[in-house]
Amino acid sequence: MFEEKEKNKNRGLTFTILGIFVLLLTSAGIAIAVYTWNYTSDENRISTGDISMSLLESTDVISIENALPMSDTKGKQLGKNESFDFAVTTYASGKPGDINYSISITEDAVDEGYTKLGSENVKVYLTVLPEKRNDAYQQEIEVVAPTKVSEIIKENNTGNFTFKDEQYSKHSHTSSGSTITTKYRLRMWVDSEVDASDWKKDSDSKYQYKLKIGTAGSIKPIGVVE
Amino acid sequence: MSNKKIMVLSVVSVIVLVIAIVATSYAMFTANLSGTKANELTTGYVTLNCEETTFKLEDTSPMTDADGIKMENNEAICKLTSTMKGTMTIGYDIALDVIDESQEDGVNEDNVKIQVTKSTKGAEEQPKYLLETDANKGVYISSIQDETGQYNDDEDQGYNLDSDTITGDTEITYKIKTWVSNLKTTGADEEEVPNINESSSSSTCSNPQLKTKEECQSAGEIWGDEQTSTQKGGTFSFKLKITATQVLSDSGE
Repeated sequence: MFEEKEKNKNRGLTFTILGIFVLLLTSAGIAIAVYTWNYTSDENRISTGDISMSLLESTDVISIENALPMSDTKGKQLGKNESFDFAVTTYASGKPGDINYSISITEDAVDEGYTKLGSENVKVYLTVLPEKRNDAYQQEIEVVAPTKVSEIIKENNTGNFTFKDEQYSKHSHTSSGSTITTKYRLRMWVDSEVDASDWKKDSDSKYQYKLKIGTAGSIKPIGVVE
Repeated sequence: MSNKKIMVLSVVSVIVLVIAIVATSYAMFTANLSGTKANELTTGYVTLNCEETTFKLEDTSPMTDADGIKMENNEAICKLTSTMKGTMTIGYDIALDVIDESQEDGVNEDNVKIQVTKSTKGAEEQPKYLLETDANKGVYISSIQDETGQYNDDEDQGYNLDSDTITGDTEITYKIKTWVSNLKTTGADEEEVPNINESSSSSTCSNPQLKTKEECQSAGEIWGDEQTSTQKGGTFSFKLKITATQVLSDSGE
C-alpha cells in the first residue's frame, strides 16, 4: 500500500517535470518564431584587366670622351654614341583609359679618378623618335628642350622631366589588348656657359657626369569625374 | 452467480449511479449567460525593404582613394525602409558577402577598397562614414574581417558593415563605393604593391617581331634590355546581405 503511494507520487513528480519541460520548449519555440527577415542583393561586380609597363634601354649608351662646352644647336645634333635611345611600352588587356607616365633622371656615381661635374653644367635634350625610320614625314619631335640637369632634378626632388606636350607622357588605351610604345632619344652635353679654363689633364681636374633614366606610370581611370 | 459476475455488475452499477448523480446534479440548475463586452485583437504588420542599386564595372583599373571616391557608377546602394503598424524593435546586420574573386594574385579582398556611408532620413549628421572610412579614405575589405554582426549567427554572412536597430517607419540609405587599389600599407610607412610582378629580359627589340639586333636597328627600332612591371587583373563580385530579427526586450515588445 505504502509502496503504491510512493510509486504514484513519483509518477506525479515525473509528469510535473515533463509538463514544465514541455512548457519551456513551447515558450522557446515561440521566442524563436519572432519576426525575421533575410535579404540578399543582386550582384555587384568590378573587374580590372592586366596592365604592364616596360622600359627598354638601348645597349648603345652615351659615351662622350673629351667633352667640351657646346651650344644647344650643336648639342641637339649629337649622333650615335652621343645619344641614348629608350622605349616606354604599356600594355592593357582591357580598356583602362590613360596610363600617364613620367621619365626621370637619376645621377650615377662617377668612375674612380674623376670628379663629378655639377649637374648645373650638363644639359639634356629629349625627343620622341618617329615610329618608322623611313617615314619621311616624321622627324624627331622635341618633348623637352635643352635644359640643365640641375633644373630637372630640383623640381620636387623627383628628377622628373617636364614634358612640353602632355601627349608624350600618356598612353591612351581605349581598346582591349592594346600595346603602345613610345621611343625616346636623350642627348647630353656640357653647357656652353661653362668655364672650362681650369679643366686640366691631371686627375684632380678630370670631370665626369653619369646619369640613368627611369620611368613610372599611373593610370587615370575612366569614369573618374573631377 | 459467480463472484466475478457479481464484481462486474457492482462496478457497472457504481458507474451508472455516478453518471446518474452527476446528470441529476446538472439537471438541478442550469443557466446560460452571454457577455456583452467584445475583446478584440487586430494584428499589425512590419514590412522591411531594400531598394537596391547595383553596379557592374568592367575594365576599370587600380586607382587611388581620391579617384575611387570621385569615380561614378561604382556604388552599391541599399535604401532600407521599414513600415510598421504597431510597435516593434528590429535589429539588423548588413554585410558584404564576397561571391566571386579572381586568383590570389589578382583582385581580391586584399586590394579592393570600399567607402561606406549611412544616411538616416531626418538625422542631423549626413552622411555618417562607417568602419574606418571618411570623405577621402576607403578601407581594404580584408581589414574589416573582425567586424561581427549582432543579430545573426551565420558564419557565412560575410564582412559586417553595420549593425543597428529600427523602430517604426524609417529610411536608412547605405552606399558602398568600391574600387581596386594598387597600394597596400603593410607597416607604418611602408607600402607595397601586392599584385605586381617584375621581370626583365635582355637583347630585346622595341618591336618584338624583330628578333635580331641587325633587323631591329635597321628598322629604326631600339635594341636593348627591358624591364617590365605587370599588374594582374581579375574580377571581384559581392552581394549585400541583411539579416533582421525582432528584438525582444523587458518592455514587453
